[in-house]
Amino acid sequence: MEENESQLAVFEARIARGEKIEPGDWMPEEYRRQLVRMISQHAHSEIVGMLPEGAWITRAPSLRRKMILLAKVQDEAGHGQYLYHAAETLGVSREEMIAALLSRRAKYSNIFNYPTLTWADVGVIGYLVDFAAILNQTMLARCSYGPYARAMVRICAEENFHKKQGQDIVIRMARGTPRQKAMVQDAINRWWWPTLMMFGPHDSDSPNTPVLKRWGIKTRTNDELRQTFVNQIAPELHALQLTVPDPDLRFDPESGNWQIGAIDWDEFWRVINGNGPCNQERMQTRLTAHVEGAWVREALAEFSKKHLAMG
Amino acid sequence: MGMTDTQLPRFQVFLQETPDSPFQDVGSVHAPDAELALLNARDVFVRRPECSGLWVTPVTSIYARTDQELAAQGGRDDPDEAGGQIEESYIVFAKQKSAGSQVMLGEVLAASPKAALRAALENFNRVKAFTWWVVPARDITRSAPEDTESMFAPAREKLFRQSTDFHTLTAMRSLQKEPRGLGAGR
Repeated sequence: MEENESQLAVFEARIARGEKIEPGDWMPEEYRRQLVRMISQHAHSEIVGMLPEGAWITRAPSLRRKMILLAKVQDEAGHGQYLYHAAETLGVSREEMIAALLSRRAKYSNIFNYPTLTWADVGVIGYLVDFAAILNQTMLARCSYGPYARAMVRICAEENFHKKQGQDIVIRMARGTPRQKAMVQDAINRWWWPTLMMFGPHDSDSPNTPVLKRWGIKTRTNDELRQTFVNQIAPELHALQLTVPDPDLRFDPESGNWQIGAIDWDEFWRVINGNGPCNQERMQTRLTAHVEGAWVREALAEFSKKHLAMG
Repeated sequence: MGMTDTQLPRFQVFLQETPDSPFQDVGSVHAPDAELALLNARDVFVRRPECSGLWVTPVTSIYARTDQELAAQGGRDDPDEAGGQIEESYIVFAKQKSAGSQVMLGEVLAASPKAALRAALENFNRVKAFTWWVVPARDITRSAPEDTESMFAPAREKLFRQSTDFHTLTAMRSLQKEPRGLGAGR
């Protein structure tokens, strides 16, 4: 017990100095547990996150857009790999993490339970959803756990491409024909609130935040990140002559913040608990991919066994 | 879950950005063997330049000690239970910057991983590292120099996957200057 306390003091002092914790270093069990929860959830989000946009690869409006979208979806597969690796350094196996996802014990970002109805959704996902992700990931790139921070540095550089290709689509459509403009406005209307929910519950309802901040896993709160997002995006959308589906949105000159109306948390909980428009479809797709890929994994394992036996 | 649900063994990946830079740890991949691990590593870690070489090694071949673990043992590793007799080459990696990764320092000759770490601590005694890794050189599978072009060059031409290929900042700036711009949509 006493040893534990002095180890905890050393651990917290290292974090206060800005040092990274590495695999092999002593860490509290709760630090490990919170990281495994966050990183594996993050990894699952990248993997499931390929599905909504992947649906548009065959329908991209030009060869250039198709190559960009393919590259983006491929990046997301890569990000999933970086993140599973970061979680593996904490002693959890990929088999366990995949099993947790497929048996619905693990969650992934709620945003991917919404459908992509038009090409404009591809633009708006890149512009809004990926920008929201970048804000969170830029914070995590400074987090106290070395392998997670390093994965985030790689991811942030690539996410910037994701955001900009999406913003590029939105700018072009907003300045395009009336039908294109209506299409991109419709996409913003559908994605705006789910994107704001990506930052998670309000700070007052976020029980994990204090311990995550104390141990340098998070350095900013959900509400702080959400505010940064709105302050950046609301004026940009206005400049594009697009509107935000929030009658209460207004600029508060005193704080310098754009203030938003009430978030419908009932919807958030309804979707996260499995009753969103695409939850069933997303999980079914992952499950089918896993089952149908079993023979490939088996063949690879057999091949390498024979290969090794032959020396 | 059954045997078919294996995610296959894990291989650590080391990447060299330019021919003059040292190999450094970038993460890991799963693969049935080193040859496929090398191909997976290229897909996962070299979607963009720069890369001039890749190494993979089974994670089980890495002998790792943190500064904290060494300090707990009086600054040196504990002696071998049963050291081998035949010396071989080990590659030494160290993480010297808190926010950095494991970067290759050089090679040592030793008869066991523990002996290799002791040799590394002596040979590189000016290095202040947070973490040390030693890996038997024979357990490392390397990309062949003659394959460099075909493995890594394609990433260089794919400018569309670089954020610099999109001029959204300039576009937004000029829009926000237009009189009908900011605020006019509401």
